[in-house]
Amino acid sequence: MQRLNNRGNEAPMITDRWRVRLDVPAETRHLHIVRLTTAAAAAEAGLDAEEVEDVKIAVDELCSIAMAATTATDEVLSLEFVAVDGELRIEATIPSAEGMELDDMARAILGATVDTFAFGGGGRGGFQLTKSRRVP
Amino acid sequence: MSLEDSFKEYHRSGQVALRNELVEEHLALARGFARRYQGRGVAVEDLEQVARLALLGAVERFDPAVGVRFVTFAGRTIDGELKRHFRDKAWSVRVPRQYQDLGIAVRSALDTLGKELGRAPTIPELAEAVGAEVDEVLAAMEAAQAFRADSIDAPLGGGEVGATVADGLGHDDMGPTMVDDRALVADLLGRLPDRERRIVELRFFAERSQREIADEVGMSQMHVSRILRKALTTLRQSLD
Repeated sequence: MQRLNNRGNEAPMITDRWRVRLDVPAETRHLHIVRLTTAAAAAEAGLDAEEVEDVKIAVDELCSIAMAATTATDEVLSLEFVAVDGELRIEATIPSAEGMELDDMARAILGATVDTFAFGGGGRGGFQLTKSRRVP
Repeated sequence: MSLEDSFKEYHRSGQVALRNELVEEHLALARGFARRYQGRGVAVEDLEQVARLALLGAVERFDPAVGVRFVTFAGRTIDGELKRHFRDKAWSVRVPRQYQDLGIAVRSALDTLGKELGRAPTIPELAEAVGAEVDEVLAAMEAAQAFRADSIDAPLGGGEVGATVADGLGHDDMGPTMVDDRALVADLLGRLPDRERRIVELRFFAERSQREIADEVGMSQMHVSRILRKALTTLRQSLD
């Protein structure tokens, strides 16, 4: 499991006050549904407009990479969005991503857009990320 | 002949030479309105062209007997044409009219509120500012990504910025196995047009915020966001 935290913090405990689960065919043409759900969850968590755009970029990147690895035509990307005050957590599973690693470009994109991210492991394939609201 | 007399004379005679003089007299007005819409994804030359055509139409239609000043009449005409241009012609994917209008309002509110608050606004703040629901604002933000990112190849204004790809990539902890990866990233970024590459570098390697980049390169935050998304799509496609 490739576990990275670009701010050097442990991800805080999150309670699931607002939780949405989404299954979509693992095809990039369905990414807009994922982006809209991501935006709704990010807004629910209280992230600002720029943070919402950032987390959409991150999810787009992770999903695109994971989907590019799919071989089965019926593969499904399952996502779970949890929003609490000031924080968004997203967990996704997609079997084809098992064991995959991110390249430098993807790591740079994720490092600049979300607080913590992990990709490609956990026994089921997928990713996790967290994004917290900036303290003004 | 005074300006008023010129308009009266043109309205009476329809002389092309006089019309052209009146247009030339007001070119600065067209330029001024065009500049208001600069940095929103349409080349300034295109904006000025739209504004000049609108000015021509305004001169041709202006009736001095109505009692409205020409600059007021022409200003309204030019502004209307520019808005129509954005709404109808500058979208690369057909986006429902309601989201086009809302998208323009959201983009404007993002910049205004950002300056007022000194930070990016939250989605509820944006929704309140534009008089829409939160989900409508989110949909408009997503739809705005379909907006064409024109003139992306143009050189960046404001001179060079210090950060480069190499600055962001040369960390010791990456280890020797990352050398190929770094070369790949540099190669990929090299395929992007200058402006896209610079914005990608600033955002992901220098970790500047979208707003900081927007201020730096003189465009709206939403346009920066669009360019980033477009650039990442290009990068992904070149990997396939």
